[in-house]
Amino acid sequence: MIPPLTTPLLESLWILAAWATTGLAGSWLVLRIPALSRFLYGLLALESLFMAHSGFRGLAERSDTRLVLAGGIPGLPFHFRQDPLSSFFLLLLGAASVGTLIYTGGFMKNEPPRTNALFFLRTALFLSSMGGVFLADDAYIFMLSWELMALVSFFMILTERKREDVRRAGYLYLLMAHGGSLLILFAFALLASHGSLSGPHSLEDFSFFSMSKTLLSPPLALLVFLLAVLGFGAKAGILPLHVWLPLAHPAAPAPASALLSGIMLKTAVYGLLRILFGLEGLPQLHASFGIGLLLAGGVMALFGILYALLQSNPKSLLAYSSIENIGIILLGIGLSILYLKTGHPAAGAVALSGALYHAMNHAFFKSLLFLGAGTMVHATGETDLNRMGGLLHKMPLSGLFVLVGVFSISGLPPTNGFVSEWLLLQATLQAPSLSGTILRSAVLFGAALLVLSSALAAMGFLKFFGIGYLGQPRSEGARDAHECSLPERIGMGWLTLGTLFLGFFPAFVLSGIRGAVFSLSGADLPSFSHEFGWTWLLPFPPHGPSTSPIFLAGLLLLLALPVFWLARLPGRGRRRSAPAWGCGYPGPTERSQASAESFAQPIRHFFPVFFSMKRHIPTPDDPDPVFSLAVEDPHWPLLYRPLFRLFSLVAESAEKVRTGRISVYLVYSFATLLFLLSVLRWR
Amino acid sequence: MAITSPSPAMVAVEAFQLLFVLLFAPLLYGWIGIVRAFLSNRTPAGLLQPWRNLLRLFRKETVLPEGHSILFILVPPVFFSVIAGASLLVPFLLVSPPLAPVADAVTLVGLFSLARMTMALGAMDVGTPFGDMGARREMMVAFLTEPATLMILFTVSLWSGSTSVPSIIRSLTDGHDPFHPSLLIAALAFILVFLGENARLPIDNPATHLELTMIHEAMLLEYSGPLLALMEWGSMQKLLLYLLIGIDFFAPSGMPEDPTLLSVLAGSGILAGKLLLLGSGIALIESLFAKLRIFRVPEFTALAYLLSTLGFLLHFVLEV
Repeated sequence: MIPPLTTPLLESLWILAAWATTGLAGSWLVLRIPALSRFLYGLLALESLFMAHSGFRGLAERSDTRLVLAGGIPGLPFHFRQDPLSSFFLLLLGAASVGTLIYTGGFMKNEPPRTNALFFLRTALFLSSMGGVFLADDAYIFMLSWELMALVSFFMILTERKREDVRRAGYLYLLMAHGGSLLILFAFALLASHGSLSGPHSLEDFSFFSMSKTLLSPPLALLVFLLAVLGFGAKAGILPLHVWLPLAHPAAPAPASALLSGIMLKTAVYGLLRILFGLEGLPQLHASFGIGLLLAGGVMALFGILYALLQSNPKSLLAYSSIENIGIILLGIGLSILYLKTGHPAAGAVALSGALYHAMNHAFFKSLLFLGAGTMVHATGETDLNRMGGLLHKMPLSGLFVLVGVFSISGLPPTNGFVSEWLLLQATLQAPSLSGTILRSAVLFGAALLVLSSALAAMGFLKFFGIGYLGQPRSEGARDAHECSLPERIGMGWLTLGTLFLGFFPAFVLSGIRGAVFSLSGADLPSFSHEFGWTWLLPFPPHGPSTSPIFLAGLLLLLALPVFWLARLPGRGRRRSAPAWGCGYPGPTERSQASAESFAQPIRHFFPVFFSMKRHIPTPDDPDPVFSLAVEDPHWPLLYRPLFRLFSLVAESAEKVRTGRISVYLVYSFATLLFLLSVLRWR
Repeated sequence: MAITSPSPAMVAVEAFQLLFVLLFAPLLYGWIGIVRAFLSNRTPAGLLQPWRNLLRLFRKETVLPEGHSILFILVPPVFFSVIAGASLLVPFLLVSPPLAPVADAVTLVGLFSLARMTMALGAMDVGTPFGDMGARREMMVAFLTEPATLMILFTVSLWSGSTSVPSIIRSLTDGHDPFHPSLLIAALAFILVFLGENARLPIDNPATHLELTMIHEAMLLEYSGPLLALMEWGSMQKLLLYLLIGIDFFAPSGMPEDPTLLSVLAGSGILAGKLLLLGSGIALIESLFAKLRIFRVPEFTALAYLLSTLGFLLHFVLEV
């Protein structure tokens, strides 16, 4: 018997099941009839649309429903819950994945059926497991979905598993994902073991409901905070744990990158919010946790965008930019903890909604840009920006979509990136209401890093678009580029529309986010009661400044129309074409254009502390005078390689005990036995 | 904060603001030229010279470089209208022009970076080395001046706790202690930002003919005719708007509250006086300093960024 879809939770659970079944049945079908794959991806997209509907419904009704299903382990049935926070992230999952799924139908059509079928199965399971993370209400189902998600995404990265760099990237990802899971598990264990108010411990302690009743001592609260930040940070790419991101994204196919970066990184944000605000609970947090998160986020944002600027592979550029964006989201969360814990609920609510808004924005424009990078790579057969160029001529429509993404991620008004940046900046401006120079300086520092990294983002994405899409083709591949297939354009178009919608109607989006913010923090956003309230961003503080992106866009359009006429003043006849002037230098070639590295040169010189550079400038008598430059992420030489060396050292010295003679092994066993017995006796 | 239904007076104020910026911006350029010529003992070209240049450009034919895309043609009108749109939103004739609530100061800064980004895209469209170089250098200047502008704006908004420009002006005019160290530092930073953002002398020589030292001009090299005129005119307006924002933040006295004809006229008289004075100041700075080497430019803009952050910090340490 099918239960009626009375609550959004039931609808969401049904879609999880539908995704999984479509994946299983569909991959079998694709294997037999490959032509069907486009329609099957369409079916998945339709299910995503329903998921978006369910999330939207949950936000609109502000419903908070729980459901306990039989199954799980003895003593701990499956707990599910869809509260406004889950609804928000389910909406994000559904709405952003629609575009990527439609796109994938076109993207994978030339792959062999086996690859296509496997990718279909993995995509569907990936979506289903991410939905499971958002709906889980006990540690068991949460970790189950979380690990399934990690595993499936590992296989998605390994789609081109024949390549050595892909396998390395996949392995590093798996390592990081599992290390992170261990920390999360430990955090859950701490919460559960201090959970039960009365009576003996039972497995019920692992349900989120009983975890949220935990009372922790301050050091334990700090420990749980650190475990959660590091555990989820490994997935989100928090600073020393980010190294897998820039390797995994260029390795994975574009739709996989779009899902990984656009949506999976948000599961980490969700998990962090759930543990900090939901399970540990606001009363047990401390303002200094907020400061820590704020500063970590700010530094991460700056670091991410500086390295993004240096990349000449478009997908590594986007991967580093994801680190920046997650940094901005963490900065917002830190800011909100700081404000909420010092008794400024309104400012805290604005900061938190800025962080959530940015998460939603990032899901849309980063998916869009990753898909755009996928079309660039597909169309040219090149993976280096230095071998692209002039693609706007060949791919006008997808170029236009990418341009929208570029403006949004650079935070320019009236796009959505600007809206979330505006919210966060307004929140930082409430610093004077804080008491104490440390708190204020921390907020000030955060604001300074936020504005700096967003200005750098504009530079980085000018490079991305200018080198890739503008100028003249730099290689044969770029000269023969072609526009992408129809499903690819539809998918990118969906994401573009979503990006524009998020930019133009912030009040509408915020009315949804409000529910999630209220359920997390108990604080509400200031409301705007006016007949044209929907056109405005937030007034903050009450009756303070606001801004209206849609009005601004209208105004600009209104002004632009007469100016277009002005630009055509001399009429059609007096317009002619001539070779580009270029200051009269003869024979400009495509090689005289700026390269991707030259764009980053001023940045490399200005922030030398961030980069470990190896430069070789040949001397005049060098027989092989080649200039070379290698920039490496400093985390490799300073942290990871020494760590790996230490591991192999320990492993090698452990090797020495293995002699291969059975008598020695017997002695080992005997000694261990004696030792254990003596320990027992002694206790 | 809501926009009330448009009354004729309000429409007139906005139209007058737009006209003022459109017409006065080239004149201000001319004025700076006159003062510079006077300071270096040359014969000035006259107040109307920028206008004569613009009108001549509008009459010329457009030469489009081969291999350009549609973006190349779209950029100048978009750039121009973004700047012209900003002139409707910045208060200068009245403390609170009717459209001011549409954009707070953060949005204004955002509009300027939107204009900058479109211009840089236009410069990179054809793929000539100078266009690319100009775009890159422009972003190299901007990545520090833009955050500096925002930090300055945060500093001045600390008194009102709001980033809407009218409330900033009101909080700075209604009988505070007139001297604030943080405002002084912010004003210093603003001068540096102004010079960097508008391609003025220590950063960029607007009258240069050496392509290799160009920043702003290098981006316009491929444009001609009306398209070039739009770019030039837009840049002139941008300079004027930056001055107007500076006046709003640091010297707002004399700006009328109510939209009566007399007060607006008196206010615009005072405003014109301030602008002429500031224009002379720019000319003086440009006559006194030589152009910086391009590698020294980030140090200059970094100074602006640090000063603006320091201003913010000083407010917390000294003034609260």
